[in-house]
Amino acid sequence: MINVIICDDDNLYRSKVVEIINKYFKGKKLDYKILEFQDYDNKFIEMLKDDVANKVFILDIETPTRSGIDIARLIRKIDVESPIVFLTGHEELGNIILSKVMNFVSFINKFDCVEEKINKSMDLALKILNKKQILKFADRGSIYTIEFNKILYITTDTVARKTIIVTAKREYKTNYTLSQMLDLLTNDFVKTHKSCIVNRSRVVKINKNQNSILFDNGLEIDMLSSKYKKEIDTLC
Amino acid sequence: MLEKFLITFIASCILISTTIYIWEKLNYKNIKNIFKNNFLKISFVIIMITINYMLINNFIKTVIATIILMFFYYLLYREKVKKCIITPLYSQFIVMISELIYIGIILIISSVNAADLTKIFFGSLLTNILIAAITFVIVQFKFIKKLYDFILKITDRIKEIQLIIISIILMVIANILTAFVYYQVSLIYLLVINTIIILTYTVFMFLYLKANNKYIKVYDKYNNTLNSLKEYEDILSRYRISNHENKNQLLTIRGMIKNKKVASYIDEIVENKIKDDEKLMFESLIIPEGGLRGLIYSKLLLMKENNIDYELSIAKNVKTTDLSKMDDDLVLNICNIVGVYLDNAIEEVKKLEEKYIVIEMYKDDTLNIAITNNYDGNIDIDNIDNVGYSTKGKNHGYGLSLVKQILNNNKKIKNIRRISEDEFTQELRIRYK
Repeated sequence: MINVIICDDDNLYRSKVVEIINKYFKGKKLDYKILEFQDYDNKFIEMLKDDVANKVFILDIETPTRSGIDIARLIRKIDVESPIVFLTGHEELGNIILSKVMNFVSFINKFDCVEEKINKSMDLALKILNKKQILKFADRGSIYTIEFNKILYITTDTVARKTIIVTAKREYKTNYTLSQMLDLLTNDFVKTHKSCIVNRSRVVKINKNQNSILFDNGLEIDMLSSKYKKEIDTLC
Repeated sequence: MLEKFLITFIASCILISTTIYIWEKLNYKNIKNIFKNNFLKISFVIIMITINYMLINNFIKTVIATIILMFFYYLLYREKVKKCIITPLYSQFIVMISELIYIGIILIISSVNAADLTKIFFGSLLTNILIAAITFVIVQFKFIKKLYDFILKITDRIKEIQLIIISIILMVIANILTAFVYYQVSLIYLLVINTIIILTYTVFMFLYLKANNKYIKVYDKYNNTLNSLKEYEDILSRYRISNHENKNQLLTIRGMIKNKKVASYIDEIVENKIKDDEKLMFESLIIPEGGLRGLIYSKLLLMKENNIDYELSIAKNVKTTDLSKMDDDLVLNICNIVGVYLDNAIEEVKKLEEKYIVIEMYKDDTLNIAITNNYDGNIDIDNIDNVGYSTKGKNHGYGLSLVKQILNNNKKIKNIRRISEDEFTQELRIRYK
């Protein structure tokens, strides 16, 4: 069930958005529910605390009591993944850098092809909801949020006694053990070696003779062990 | 000779095994794997210790052995320098206590001199095994681990260089005492060794003072008084008003001029210079005054000079926060920390193709200030707050250690870091109520 949460202080405009969403889902044959709010009041804040899955937020950038950005910040504290779409009456389309940092889907001008833009944003939002997106954990006073699809593999450094998450751009060293990491990961991640977990969706080729794994960015590692034959067979 | 080598080799094996056992007991639990996974390193160190005890002068062999153990500890565990100094010293201390207990037991049980016992092969072997056994028993006591943790805690605030100096002094004292008591070392030897130690001490002091000097420079840089920040904010307000008046006057003059060239020149001044300054000042108005506004404005200017894209996201309930109601020292600390964070963010993004910084301020149970920037490379979270650690080059790396000091001394401010693939955020949470 997709929960679409709409907040706009303009009752007429909000009804229009509800109509667009109803029309959108009619064609999709998906279970959905719309939750409407007039303001970012206590009722809205209480709703955020409810353990409701598959939320899509369509928020007014400014209401009488609070700004939509402040609310988005509050949402992101609890939930790093739910798609957020902003409706703005301003000509320029809002905080471009902040939307990158806080992972907003889009800013939509209320008065410019709004139905088309809401439909496009909903398509993107559903894609985001289909897959659990982000690995989030806390370690040594820092909160890490790494998109699952960016992770190539996770391995251990026995000398430094750290677990290392490797992406195409970086390496993240943590004090988590490999088995603790495995509990946080999706089914896309499989163990191929006692010291290695690999992201299946990034694997292009495996070579059992050379015990090597080739990723889509060209990186190759030799972390295959015959002890994990069953998991390796699911790789490619 | 062969017998001596055999005795020394076996003694070294026992010493190393005992030492590793102590280290594992103090820090980690997986004692079996450490021998299995580090066989080559352990073998190498046993040989080094054997050579040390066979060939090196009695007076300094203990010092050399301790230094070898410190390097060995680093090789095995890759821990920070402090732990690599403290843990081997502590384990040597435990072994020394075991030796004293052993000597005491031998004296009580029999009239045999412990030193004579070591002169025969099996006596020496037995001595080493018994000392190892006593060590094994001592290390089981919880008090030993608690003392170790306590030493680590109290030395946490001591700088590494200070710890090295203290360790050298301790080893010198221990050696002088043992030299006189056990080895009757000649004066010449003492003189030469002490000279070397003093020279080493001098070099370390020089390096320490050099590092301290850089630290003081950074401390001075951030040691603004709150009054100067507030005065700066006053100047900015007056400048904003005067800038606005200048713009209006120029536009009035422009209306009176018929010369197109002059009119176009005035348009250029208004468009490029005055409007830009006005925009920046207007943007900074949303930041609460009382020190922060002036500080952030100056950093925004710096960002503009370096073509860094920035965004200010200040929550409504923060815009009206009166910082003058907060303790002056607290506000000053906040300004110093935010200054360091912004400088670090600017330094980091300056070298990148895409450059952006976001400054957020919002309030819930705490007043929160977050600085986010994009970055390149890996972040070493374990060392980021250490003096001298920096990704920016030789004369950097003191800002965050200064921040750490402020945070340690002020319970009202907490720091959280957020790390994602593209952004790094430093967030301050301030208890303002």
